[in-house]
Amino acid sequence: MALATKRWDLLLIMTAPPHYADTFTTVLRLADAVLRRDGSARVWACGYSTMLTQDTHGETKPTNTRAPDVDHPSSASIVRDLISGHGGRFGWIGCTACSDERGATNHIGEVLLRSPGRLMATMSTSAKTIFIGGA
Amino acid sequence: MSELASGSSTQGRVGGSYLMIESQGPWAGPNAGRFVRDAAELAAAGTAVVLLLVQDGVLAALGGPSDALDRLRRNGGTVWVDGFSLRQRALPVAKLCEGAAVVDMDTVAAVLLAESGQAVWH
Repeated sequence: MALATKRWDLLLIMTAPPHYADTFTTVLRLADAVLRRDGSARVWACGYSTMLTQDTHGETKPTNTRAPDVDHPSSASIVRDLISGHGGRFGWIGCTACSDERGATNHIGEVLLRSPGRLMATMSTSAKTIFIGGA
Repeated sequence: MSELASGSSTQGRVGGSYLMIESQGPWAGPNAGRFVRDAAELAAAGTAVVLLLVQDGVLAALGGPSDALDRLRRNGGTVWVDGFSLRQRALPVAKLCEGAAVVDMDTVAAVLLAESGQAVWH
């Protein structure tokens, strides 16, 4: 018996590099808003966005010298908390080709790794897909 | 994008619906202006269009509207401006062009979850 394919409300394909604009923040805000409405969302990270979920980031960003007593979570930590905190309604996929090209192969364990050959199949399981280009 | 976006202004439209998300400012290059022109053309062709300005894209709604933004509105399109992006850039709501509505991401999520239209990001 074939397993039922899980359906998602929203797929965000993020090929834009993460730090030249506030795209990553917008993606997180949009995903968070969907989750608050009991929807489901996942992100397909391509290009340099694969760097966001490297386990080498640790739990927090380097200390902000203007606010040394405050811990700011790393991008990997934020993604991990979103995945683990919503009962399977949030997912993060790392593109294997983009990860390999950049040596970004040490993703946190919560990240699902997929070949770009599965992009179309991934899109087909989502009600809506938003492609965020700019790589 | 029906009643959430513009109420009766979408009545009688013949096409589908689009949520068009502009994240780049008017000075990032010509493509941002082209994207807004595309939104205006879709609205003119009878498609329900919501243009969401986010990140540097909010700059397009400051002061007087561009010709494309004005045309989009005259054709029945809706202009949304992300409030977080405005606050992050210390831009006052009072400076927005006429007809631009400040929204939060919850409003955007509601549209994405509830409706069958397409979403396009630039």
